[in-house]
Amino acid sequence: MRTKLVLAVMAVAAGVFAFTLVHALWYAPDMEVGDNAVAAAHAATPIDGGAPSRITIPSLSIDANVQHVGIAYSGAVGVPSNFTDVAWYKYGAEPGETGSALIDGHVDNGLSLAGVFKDLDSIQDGADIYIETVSSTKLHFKVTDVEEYPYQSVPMNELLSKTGTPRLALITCDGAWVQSQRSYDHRLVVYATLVD
Amino acid sequence: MTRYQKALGAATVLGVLLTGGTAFAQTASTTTTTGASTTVSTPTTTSTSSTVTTPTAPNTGAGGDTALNLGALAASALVLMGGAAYLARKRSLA
Repeated sequence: MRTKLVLAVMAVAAGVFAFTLVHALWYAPDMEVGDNAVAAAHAATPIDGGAPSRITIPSLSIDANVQHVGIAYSGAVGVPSNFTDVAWYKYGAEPGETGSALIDGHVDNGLSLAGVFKDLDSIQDGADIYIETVSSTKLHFKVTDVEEYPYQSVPMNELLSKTGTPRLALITCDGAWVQSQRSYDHRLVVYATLVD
Repeated sequence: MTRYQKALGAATVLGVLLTGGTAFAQTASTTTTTGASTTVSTPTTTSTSSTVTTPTAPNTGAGGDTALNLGALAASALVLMGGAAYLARKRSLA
């Protein structure tokens, strides 16, 4: 009887251990919802060959797959489903087209191990960013500005604008952790413009 | 349980079945808060017009949960090791 009890407790502990490990290492918070008004409004918009498939930033040794995301339950832009990919906001502008294409990536995971954009704050003005599209077109951007904003002050209208010169915005978390929000209190944004 | 208690219980159940049970109206006074919210965040979009509201900035980090996750990992690992030690000791004694 006592052995069975010990085995049961061990089984629960094994479950907690496995769940926590998977949650911390692979689960990305605030992932996209598949069905909402924005998705419905854009459902007729197919992903074409101009959508990004890979991003390379040589100065930061970043070479990552690009996921395509929409909106999360929280009302925020969706994020990649893991900590090594980045995510392009698929209802915004495509890279290389008129307007600002937005790409986000995690800064860290649930065990504070580095996410794909861990070192994004060290990128320099003039740094090269390369985007490869689904149709294998390679686009070259150069960093023009790096800004840090309080979470509530991120200029999302500007980052998702579909007008103006072709440009790119990379965004990740920054600042201090706010436990009640389970998020960081700032966002780091890297602006880049299309070179060729 | 005595025969009398069984009969009383059966009669109660039968009575509830025949009367259709007790009507329950949920009011503020009969509702308690559990701490778990069932409210889904306000959608970021409008759905009845062509206007689309801009989404908020993405949540791209989870590092603040590190202490909690490490604590859960350590506690569950300790329980597993303790259980394994107990079973090993019991087997060696048998």
